[in-house]
Amino acid sequence: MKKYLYYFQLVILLTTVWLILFETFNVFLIIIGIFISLAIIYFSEKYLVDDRLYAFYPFNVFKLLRYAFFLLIEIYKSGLSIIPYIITGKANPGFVDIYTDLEKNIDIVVLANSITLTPGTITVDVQGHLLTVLWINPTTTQPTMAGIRIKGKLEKRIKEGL
Amino acid sequence: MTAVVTILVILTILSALRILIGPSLWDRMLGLNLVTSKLIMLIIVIAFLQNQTFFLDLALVYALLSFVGIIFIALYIQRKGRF
Amino acid sequence: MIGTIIIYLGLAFVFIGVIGIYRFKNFYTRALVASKVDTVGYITLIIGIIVKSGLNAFSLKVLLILSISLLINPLVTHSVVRSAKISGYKSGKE
Repeated sequence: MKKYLYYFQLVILLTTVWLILFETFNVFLIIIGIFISLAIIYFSEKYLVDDRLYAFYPFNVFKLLRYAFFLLIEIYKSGLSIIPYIITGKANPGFVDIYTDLEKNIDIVVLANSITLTPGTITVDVQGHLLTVLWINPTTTQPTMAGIRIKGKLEKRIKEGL
Repeated sequence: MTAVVTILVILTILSALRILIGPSLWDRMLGLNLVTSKLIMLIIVIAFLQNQTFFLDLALVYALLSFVGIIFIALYIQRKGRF
Repeated sequence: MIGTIIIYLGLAFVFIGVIGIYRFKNFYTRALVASKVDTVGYITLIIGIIVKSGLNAFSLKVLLILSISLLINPLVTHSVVRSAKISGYKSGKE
């Protein structure tokens, strides 16, 4: 039952993108869009991922929108905090190792991209649960303390579900 | 709104100067990324001024193509020319 | 009127980002500062355009471009910095 709900929201999402690209709304176009998005899901399961799409990218649109809004506020906060470094012109960045305890691959990918998107930190390398992060002002090089400073709120928000 | 276009063109030229004087190869790639994002902003502002939506398709295709280009240049240099 | 103010605010962020790539002597600092403040300016300017244009097909398409480039931008920065680190680029201690 949950699987059919997942495919239903995937079809709605793809049809919305199709309608935005056409810039007009009528019934004929919506029906063609639904058929083409079903064809896209069928062919990408058959040739691209070789498995059910549900096993690879489980997501919920409303939770994803809530996470995007939270991320936008976080980007602005850290973007304002980086401006003093530009005005004074003094910074010495360094590499810090942090550990994460997320399990699924898609969660680790979202966490690494969120760390890169917030200003002040860039994820350089990911091996298993170990993330190498370039930080603009490393106050500690100890993994657990640096992990709390960099990824504390983001990881808690991802654990609640995506 | 014409002042916005002028300021954006000046900022694009200033970013493109980083491609010319960058001491290392990765500085030039960084400058290319900055020039790309400013050109997308410029296309969107011009599409709003002229009120024509087909410029936005141009911006979409340009964003996707520059993404593929920069990713492959970075991979090519990272593997020192061997694919 | 509000849209114009938001657009000029975004231009100010982009200008600070352009200053950032000429102010530091270290490559890693430039990569950290420049492209990220540039992202903040990008989001602000596009939100200004959406506010000024109202809700129609134009602003929905601009929103699509914004969401696609928010997915693309961190990947490009990650790829450039990872390429520099693996190739063994040593930054001068300054």
